[in-house]
Amino acid sequence: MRLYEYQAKARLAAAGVPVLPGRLCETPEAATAAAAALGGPVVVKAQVLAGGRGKAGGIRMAADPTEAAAHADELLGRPLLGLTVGRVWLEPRAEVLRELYLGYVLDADACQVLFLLGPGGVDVESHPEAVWRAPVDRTMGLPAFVVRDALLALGLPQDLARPLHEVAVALLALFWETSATLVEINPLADTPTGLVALDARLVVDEGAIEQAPGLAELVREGAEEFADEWVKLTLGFDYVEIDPEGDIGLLTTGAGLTMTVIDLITHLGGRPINFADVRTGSMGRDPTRLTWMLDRLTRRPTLRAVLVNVFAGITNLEEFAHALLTALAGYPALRQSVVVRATGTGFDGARALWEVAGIRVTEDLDEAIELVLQARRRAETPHTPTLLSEPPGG
Amino acid sequence: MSILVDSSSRIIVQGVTGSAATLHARLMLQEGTPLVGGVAPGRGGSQVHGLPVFDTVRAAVAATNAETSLILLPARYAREAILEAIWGGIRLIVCVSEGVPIHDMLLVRERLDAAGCRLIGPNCPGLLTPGRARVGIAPARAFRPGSVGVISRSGTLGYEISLRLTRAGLGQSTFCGIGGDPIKGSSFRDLLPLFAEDAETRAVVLCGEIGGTDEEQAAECIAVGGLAGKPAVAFIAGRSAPPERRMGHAGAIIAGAVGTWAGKVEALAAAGVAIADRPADVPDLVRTALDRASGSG
Repeated sequence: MRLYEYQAKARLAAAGVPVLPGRLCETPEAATAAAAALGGPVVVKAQVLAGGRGKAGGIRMAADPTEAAAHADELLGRPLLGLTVGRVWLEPRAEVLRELYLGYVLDADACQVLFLLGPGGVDVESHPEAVWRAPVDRTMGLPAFVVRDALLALGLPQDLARPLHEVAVALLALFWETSATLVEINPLADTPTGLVALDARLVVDEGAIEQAPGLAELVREGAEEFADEWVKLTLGFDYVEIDPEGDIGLLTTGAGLTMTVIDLITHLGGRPINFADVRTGSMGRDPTRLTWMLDRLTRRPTLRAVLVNVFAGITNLEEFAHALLTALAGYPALRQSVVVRATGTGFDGARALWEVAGIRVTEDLDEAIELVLQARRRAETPHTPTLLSEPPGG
Repeated sequence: MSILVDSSSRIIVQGVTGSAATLHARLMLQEGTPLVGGVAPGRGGSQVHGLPVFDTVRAAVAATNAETSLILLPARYAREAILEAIWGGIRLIVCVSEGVPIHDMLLVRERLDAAGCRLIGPNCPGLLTPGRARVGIAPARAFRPGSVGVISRSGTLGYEISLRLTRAGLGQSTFCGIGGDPIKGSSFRDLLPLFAEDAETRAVVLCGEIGGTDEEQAAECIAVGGLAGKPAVAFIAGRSAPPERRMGHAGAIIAGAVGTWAGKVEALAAAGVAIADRPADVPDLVRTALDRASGSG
């Protein structure tokens, strides 16, 4: 899970890494006030979870509060790098003498954490050779000699060693504390008053969110900004909207199998709206997850059909059948466009229940995909009742 | 034959008194898996489905000579359970738990390597040698004994492909669910040499997905003879997955240029692995590969 720049910087500051004072703004008026409060020229930075903001025009210099408001006005609410800018972050412009790249990354392949140092502004992905790296030993931490050797290798002056080591140690502590998989300061600027992080990127392990202080709250309060993580944390399953203008909703279980279903449907011309791993094994008869998904899916006017896929290992399909029927009861117009593929424990009883309810059922995945594509085509013909949720009272 | 688990295994279940563990212990016993005991702190001396329960792994190993352990516990207990298994003398650990923190796995991997102990998982369905032993939660009915080794990151995709192989008369020697996490106990490359050495295994199917570098490592392993020339077929899920979005599994995320479908398929194909476009194509590709292998004297 990636944090916004302003959130990452807040954590850097709390860990003792120097950052600039900044203000978060959601309106041009707030930007005017913020720029005035910060004083002098400021940088207006769009807050989106994507790299390359600078090149895309999402980071702009403002000489005064009026210009700051103008930039904010141009950025807020508009698309940037495929995302919508909800907030901008304002900071005073710093006097930069030199820029560095400093970070820690989890190298899953080698099962270790790497310390990274390089020239500022470097695109680590396209120029990995420009970055000096060394494995971090959890018991040894980051000794100063590692920093000195890094500076030597990069041809950078040794007088950076002491301040850089201080920042690097604080950053490493943050990496462990937040269960991070990546923390990056690019650029870490050397200024007349010392080193300061001009940008910060922090990616944390969602599996450890509840242990890392403050992160669970971030997700709980960010149902829109951290939508995928929010569902996982609060509802206990996975739902990722991949195509809001798609036509097929997936109520499916199993991550790899759902990815496969998405591939197969896409190949045959369908447009899945979502990825899901419902984890039916932990549902029993409780329809909550299914109802939540149907509610989301039926808000998409382009929805035409729904595919349910459960390869039951732990799941008892009869229990699941009850849950599905309960959930579908709230969307009567949807029933004729639902295709169920199920196989495994309790299948016979489940099929009986579904057939009585008039829902198409098959044990074969390829057949189910064919059937859901047919349902989708049928739903495109005129005079087909809308699949959108019925308003109360019909 | 098979790899890692068979009728001669001696298997304990850690967390045996939990509801999932109790259910699966019963099923495993019904299927003939050689379970010899369970571990539940404070419940030593009791029984679950006739299995003796011990307070610690060390006590269980001392009493039963177990060398294999199945961990069916919530993720927050997984690290300690794995460490206890190593401490207690277990040689092969299967951890099904989903949601084990990545930093926990860093620590665990260090200890495993130091002890020379093998871990399968976490976040996986475990191992299944059809007809002989199930160490995990894979549904036995999808499998039957045969000569195809299957290694899968995804449980459900692994079941789906195995079911198709079974229906096509191509049974499995051993099914290995290696799990969906970025740091795992064993990856494809750790298990391919075992299949290479197993006389019963004549071909291997790899079920991969986007994210990470497991498949690329597998390709490297195969290219330098890690599979001893036995044929391999792969299906990789996530061709249509959007970048930078996590598809359920902790490790299933395309990050920049790392973990793309195209990169994996390219690497595997270059190593001579036949790539299936769809699960439906896997059995035919396996059959063709087996015919070719037996045809060449």
